[in-house]
Amino acid sequence: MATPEDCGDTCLIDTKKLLEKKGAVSAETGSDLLILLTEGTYGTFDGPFNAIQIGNAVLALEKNATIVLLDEGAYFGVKNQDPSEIELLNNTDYIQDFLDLGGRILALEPSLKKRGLLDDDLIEGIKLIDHSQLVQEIEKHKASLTF
Amino acid sequence: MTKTLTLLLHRGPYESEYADLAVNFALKAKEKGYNVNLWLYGDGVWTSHVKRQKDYPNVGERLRKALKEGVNVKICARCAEARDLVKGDIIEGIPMVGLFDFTDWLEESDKVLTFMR
Repeated sequence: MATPEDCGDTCLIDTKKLLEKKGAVSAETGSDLLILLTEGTYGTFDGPFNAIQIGNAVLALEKNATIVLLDEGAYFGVKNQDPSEIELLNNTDYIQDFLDLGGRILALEPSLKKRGLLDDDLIEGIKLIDHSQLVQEIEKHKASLTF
Repeated sequence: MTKTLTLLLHRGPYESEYADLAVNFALKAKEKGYNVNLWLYGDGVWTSHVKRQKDYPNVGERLRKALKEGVNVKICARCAEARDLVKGDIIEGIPMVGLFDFTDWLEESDKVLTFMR
């Protein structure tokens, strides 16, 4: 049986090790992987978690990664949330690690507004974009994944 | 030069059409000459668990065909472990691996497609 012990930090990305190398990734030249996250923290379990694990794996290779929060994914970036109280994963540490490692997180402003969320509701470091900026992000990245 | 296509399947079989779409897409792309990688992620790992004969559409049978045709298939070890899937449960020839195998595929791919929802 494959366990995290079998594949070490390739099963679950060990961001603590990566943070020791902080600064290796440029935050503004992101062009390797774009992750479009359409699932939020609530009502789903694996999608957001698996998305950010891939993001952190890409950063571990000193490549650039960008996550765009759209649709229900907007909830993923809300600060001070702890869904572990209702037995869902708390991804906020992974989000912070992703940002600290040089990953970019962007939130589609119309998706926020539709859900009554404001810029101030988001974890610091998440930037708002509009639809035309989303198109630019899609154009400039080599590959994209949707969760 | 042969182009490489990587597919990420994040939905399980029989809950939606995505497992069927991903495997059929992989087979057709292989037939057209692509080098095809299929990454089973999240509930997508269950596709590797469909092993017995069925009298209705059988995605496991087509996954075995894809392997035979040379599609590269790997499953996320962490996702398998979370679902108590062990090597003996899954179709022979599919390795359980860590995420860096997927990032290697991303690096070598000309196109990447996600199958989910």
